[in-house]
Amino acid sequence: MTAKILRVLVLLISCVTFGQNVTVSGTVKENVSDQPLLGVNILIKGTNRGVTTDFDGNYTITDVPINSVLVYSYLGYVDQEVTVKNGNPINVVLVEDSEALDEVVVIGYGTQRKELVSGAFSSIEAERITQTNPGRIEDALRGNASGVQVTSNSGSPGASLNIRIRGITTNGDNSPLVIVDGVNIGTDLSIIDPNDIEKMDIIKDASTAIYGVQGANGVILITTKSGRKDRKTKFSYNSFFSFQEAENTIDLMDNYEYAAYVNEIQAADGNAIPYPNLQLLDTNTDWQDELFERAPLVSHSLSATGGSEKVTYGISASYFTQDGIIASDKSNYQRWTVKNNLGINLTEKLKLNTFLLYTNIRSQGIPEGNRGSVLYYALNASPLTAIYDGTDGTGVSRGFEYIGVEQGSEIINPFALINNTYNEGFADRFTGKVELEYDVINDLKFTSRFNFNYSDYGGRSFSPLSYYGPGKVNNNVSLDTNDPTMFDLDRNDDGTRDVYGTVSENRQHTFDFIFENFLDYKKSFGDHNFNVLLGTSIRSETYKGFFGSGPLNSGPETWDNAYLGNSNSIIQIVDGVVTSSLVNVSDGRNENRWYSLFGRLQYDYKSKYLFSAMIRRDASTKFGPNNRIGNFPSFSGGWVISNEDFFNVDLINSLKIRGSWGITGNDKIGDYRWLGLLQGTTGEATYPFDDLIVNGNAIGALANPDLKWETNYQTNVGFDISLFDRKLSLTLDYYRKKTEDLLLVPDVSALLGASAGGSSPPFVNAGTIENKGFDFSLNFDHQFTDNFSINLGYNLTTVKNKALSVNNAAGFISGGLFNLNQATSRFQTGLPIGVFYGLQTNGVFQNQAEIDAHAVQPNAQPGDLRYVDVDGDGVIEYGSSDDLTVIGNPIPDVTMGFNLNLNFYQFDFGTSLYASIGNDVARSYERFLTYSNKPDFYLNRWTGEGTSNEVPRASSLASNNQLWSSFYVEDGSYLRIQNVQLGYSIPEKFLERIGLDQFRIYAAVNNLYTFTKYRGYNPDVSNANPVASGVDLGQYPNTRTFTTGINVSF
Amino acid sequence: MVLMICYACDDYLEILPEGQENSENYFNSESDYQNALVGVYDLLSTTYLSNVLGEIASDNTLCGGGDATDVLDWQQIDDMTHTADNGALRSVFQWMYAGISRANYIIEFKDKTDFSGKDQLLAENLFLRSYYYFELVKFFGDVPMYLDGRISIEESQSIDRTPKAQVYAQLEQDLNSIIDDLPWQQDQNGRVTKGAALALLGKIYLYQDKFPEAVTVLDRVINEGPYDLVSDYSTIFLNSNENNIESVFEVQYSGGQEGASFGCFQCVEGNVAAGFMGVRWLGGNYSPYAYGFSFNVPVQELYDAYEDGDTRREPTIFDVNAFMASRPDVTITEGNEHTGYFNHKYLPYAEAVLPDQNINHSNNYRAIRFSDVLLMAAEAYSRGGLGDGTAQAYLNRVRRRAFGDTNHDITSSGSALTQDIWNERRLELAGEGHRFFDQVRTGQTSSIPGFTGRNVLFPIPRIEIELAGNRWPQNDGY
Repeated sequence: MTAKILRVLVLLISCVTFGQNVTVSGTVKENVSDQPLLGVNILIKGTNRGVTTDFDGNYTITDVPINSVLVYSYLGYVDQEVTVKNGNPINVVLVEDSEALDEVVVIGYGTQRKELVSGAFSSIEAERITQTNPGRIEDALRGNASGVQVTSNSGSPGASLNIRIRGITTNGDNSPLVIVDGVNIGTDLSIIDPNDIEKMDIIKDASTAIYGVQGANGVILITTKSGRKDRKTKFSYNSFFSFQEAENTIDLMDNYEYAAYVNEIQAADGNAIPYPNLQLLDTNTDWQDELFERAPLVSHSLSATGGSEKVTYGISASYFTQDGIIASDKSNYQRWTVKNNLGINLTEKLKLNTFLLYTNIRSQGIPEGNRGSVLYYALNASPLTAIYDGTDGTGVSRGFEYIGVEQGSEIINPFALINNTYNEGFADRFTGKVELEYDVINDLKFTSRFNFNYSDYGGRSFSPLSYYGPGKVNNNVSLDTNDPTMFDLDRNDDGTRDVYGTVSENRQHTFDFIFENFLDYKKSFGDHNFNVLLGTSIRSETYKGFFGSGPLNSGPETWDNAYLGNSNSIIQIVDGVVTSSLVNVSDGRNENRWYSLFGRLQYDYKSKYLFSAMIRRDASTKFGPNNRIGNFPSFSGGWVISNEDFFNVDLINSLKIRGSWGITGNDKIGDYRWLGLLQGTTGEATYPFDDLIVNGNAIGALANPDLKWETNYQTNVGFDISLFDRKLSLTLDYYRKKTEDLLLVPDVSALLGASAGGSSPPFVNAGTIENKGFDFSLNFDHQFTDNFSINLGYNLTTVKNKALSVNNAAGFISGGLFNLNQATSRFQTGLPIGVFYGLQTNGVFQNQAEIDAHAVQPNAQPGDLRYVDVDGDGVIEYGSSDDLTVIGNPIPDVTMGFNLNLNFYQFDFGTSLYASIGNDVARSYERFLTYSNKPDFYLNRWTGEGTSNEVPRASSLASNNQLWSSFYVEDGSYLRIQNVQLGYSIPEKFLERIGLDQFRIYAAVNNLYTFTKYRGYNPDVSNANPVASGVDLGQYPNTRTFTTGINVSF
Repeated sequence: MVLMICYACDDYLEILPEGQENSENYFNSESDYQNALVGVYDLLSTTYLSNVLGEIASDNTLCGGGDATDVLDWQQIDDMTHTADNGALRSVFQWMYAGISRANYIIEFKDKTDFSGKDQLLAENLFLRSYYYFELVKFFGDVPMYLDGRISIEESQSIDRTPKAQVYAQLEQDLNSIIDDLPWQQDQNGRVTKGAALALLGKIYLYQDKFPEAVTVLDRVINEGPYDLVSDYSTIFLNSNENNIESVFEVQYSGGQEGASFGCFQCVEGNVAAGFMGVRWLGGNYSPYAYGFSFNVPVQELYDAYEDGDTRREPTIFDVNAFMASRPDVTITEGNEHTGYFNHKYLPYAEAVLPDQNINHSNNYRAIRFSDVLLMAAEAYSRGGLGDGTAQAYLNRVRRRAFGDTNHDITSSGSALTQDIWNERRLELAGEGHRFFDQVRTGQTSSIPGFTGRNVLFPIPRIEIELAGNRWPQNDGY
């Protein structure tokens, strides 16, 4: 027995003796170039001991127990584990992780491993970004990220879109901050070719506090494609060609329907019937059909990326051109971009990174999106009016038929308007950075970055002498009373011409720079990992613009000659009456500055417990000395449950719960609004003495010296989970954002005098708005076989918006436009911002008995809309707020995106869907005159008892039916097939022979179909102003595009 | 190191806008004052609205327009169904206070810089402020009065409605104080004169039934002033006869130098009202007139109120049917409440104006005419028992011009004479915006359709009550 015990003891001792330690050294290289890797982390598994490789990829690690495991890890490469058997050198080749970038999130002034992120982020990779062949990055965002809503203002070439991250947080500018490779690119997002983007990270929660007063609307961080060290140059060429067409048209009445309807109106009003014999009508103009055409869209982009031992580079160039689906010769957009990223290791410790982007934009446009637009005219013009009048175009009509004044004094022939539209816009923008990174000591890095945006932009337009028919407000010339076939070019009859077309030119430039310096320190104490950031930022934005206009009276009156240099002032005085046409020149100039300090602490314990705290202190010249400085802190924490030792669920690969809270700000208001400025003698304080306008001076916008930034408080809780060998990943977040001290221009008492021309009320901090909701995203990846894989993405966003207070005395601010001067929308305490607010209809009066039984509704007849007596006082009040109520909400309850990608042998198939549920649209493109054309649902109008309980009778006297009411609010919910795409890639074995890496051809359809009940062009019609959103003024429809394209790389 | 990078950050943010003047360090020269005064005159342009409403609300005209909801605010005032939410009334309220605010801005800094001619400048300024306050009192009765300078948002919520009598007392005091500083004639047409100040003061006395005081100042205009009646009534309102000898105060409009837009009526230098009152011409040669929106259309009863031989009927009321009879090619579109009649005094003419031509006509508004002064003086003599003979003389001076003879002279006396004077005011001044306020002032409102007791005043705009801190009581009945 004793012997047995002894033998065991001996065995134990011998084991201890056998567990000896060794020193291990070796070299780490990477697989493609076989070059050594610097800075690879080597850790003895289960301990916190480790080393990193030196510049030649060499490492030595001492005191390694035999049979322990070494973990080699390097950002962007797959971790490798090697068991130590003896003291022999261990050389390792690391394999690049193709998903590498996905594992890192750009968080502002740095990156963080996705696993350790405790804020709310969404990321979109390159394939998703380019899948729908977007012309702009906003297009790429739509439906691809939870919490992000994108709505369009117009489908016209080069039109901007609105990005809203987690709802509408302010009554002002809701656009997020966009940072490209560390560079704040400003508000024009068209300058980036989406093909250049490697990935987009979107910060949705209060983690944007690192950007302080710029962070309230969320931050989009874009990483462009750049090279890696020691790679041979990789070329890519992507090109596509599309045909665009109008996605839909609005169903209007044709000539017979129209004539019958007008007859009915006139008969109802007791007038003679204007079209007694419908058989005689031979004109049937379909204005929309004549306007819309098929128009091309072409994109080419070429890039080269790569790197040598000390240099990395990414160079690209792109060309994008889009013609409008209306008047493509006068409505089009072209963009060139050239981009270069260059990184150079100047010394072992000092690295230079540069980024330069040049964008060249040329565009032309036609009037759109408001009461003077081509489409507004097309929707209201009579089908009995021809387009052309049969003349040769040299006369006063220029060959276009006049639209009768009975159709509205401002409704003109849209083709004549296009004919008289001449304009061009240009923008040349340089965006860039120069950045030095210095490794002060191990783990301490100093970065100094200077970035800038330089823009030179402007335009030219020419408004020739235009006559659209008698009584048209759009005429800029009258006919000669003695000879109506001629223009009256001599208004005061002094024998000298004094009427000319007008030429306008403007030239503007902006220069913004940001100079940032920050220290980044990473340190681990045992299992406690710290990362500290400390920095300063100086920022300036300067603007200068020149504007000129005047009569084109030198040389021919043509577009080619329409330059300001051919314009001379005319002043004629006849019998003491001044007739003038002056060359007006004005300028604008401005500068804003910011100075900021910021810091951030990130901490994790064994990648289990995560904590992050940050603060930014901003000082902004948007505010006066009383309130110039703001502090914006935020905190976040997370628990990676799956990294706990006790966690042992095979199904779940990772599970993290997160929470954050913080404060961000917004200072996007006009300049110097804390200071009272005079209008200057070129302002509106003018009065004509002796028929000669004398320029005076008066106060402009009133001052508010106590003005300060908007403050946004945001709370976020969420979790990330990945299941089934990481094939399925889910993220769910709940957020609550509250913006206090909203910057708004309230209605103020008349006593302040702000209603005078050129004056306006002061900005004040007065209002609170809240957004809350869920973001949910799901991603499923599965490779069934080597030749069949599937990727499926789904995301959902809910927003519940509420104005908690609108602190002007009236409690609301109005916006939007219906008919000629009625407001549609309100920003009102207790309601979602931009809610539609008007009369509530309750069917149509079927007979006099119903009218008698109803509250007193002035002038009501059978067939008229029946309004609800909201205040219950027995009278329907028009022109008063008493009976107005909420009649719709332009903000959707839920938006969803769905993406599906299948790869099957050499074929790939993709589709993406987008849905918006619960948004209402205001139908505001009708002109309502007797002779205006109408949407064809008016054919179902009330014509007698029991005929319709929705559409009122035809009568011009029943004009109370044209008050803003719920009759004009439609459900704008929709499901859109955004993209369907089928591609084919040539097999690699063929490609190798011709030296290509990839060759793919594809065909795609964008905006294939939209399922909606909305009767207008576009149910997601929007407006940059949140108190006018969802009001459809006849905006340019979305385009359906048919695309073929290729992707080549070698 | 990080902190070192910003060694002068506080200074870095100390910037002010280049090339723009600050409201607190202005008034450093005479031209600063002159420019600021132009800003006060500027708001006279917006009185087109008061004048249109003064007719539409009265028994002279109907609202008209394109249809029954075309400018609903005006339609409701025509029908006396307007509420405290009426937008047109709010515009009057806002624009008049805008003028007052600009006048007070000068008063706030009146002692800052001295120069010769400053007394006259300040006198013109006070006249304009009085003019704006008087418009407010006519519309709304008691109105909040502030006098010494601009006010803040907080102050705007601490001012009560000042009793009408107190406002009038202030206006009397202000106008009396400036008469000696103003000349009878100014170098520039449109500037405030001694006659304008006296006439406005007389009108304010008359509105308070202070007849002896009214007579005193109005007689000065009649006896000392350089005014006379234009012999041919039909020429008074022609654009070629602006600032004529009959014009005591005239609001100046010009449409040939600056464009106009519907988005900002208060920015327009032309006469917005003229286009609104024009005929909806459709075709043919309707020279010399221009297209309009057919508002403010006279009723048949007004047309019939003119006796045969009264040369004022045709220049006052434009009979479009008669015009079309003489020009067979001309066609029109009939608007809402079409009567066939239009306000001839302010019809828009085809002229050298800039777009939007419809609201940018150059017709000056004859705010105070000498015949108005004569009739006011006659009324004061008559009602004050100060001499029917003088009253008759003033009245008949107006009638002789109208009829071109003495056969139509009035010989009545006492209250019959007063009634005759009132009738004459209607006929002489129809279409000029005085009628409704004369009817209310004299209690002759039974002929206004829909008029009830509350309509002696317009409601204070509800939103303005709210914006001022909900401290003002609303006028009775609203």
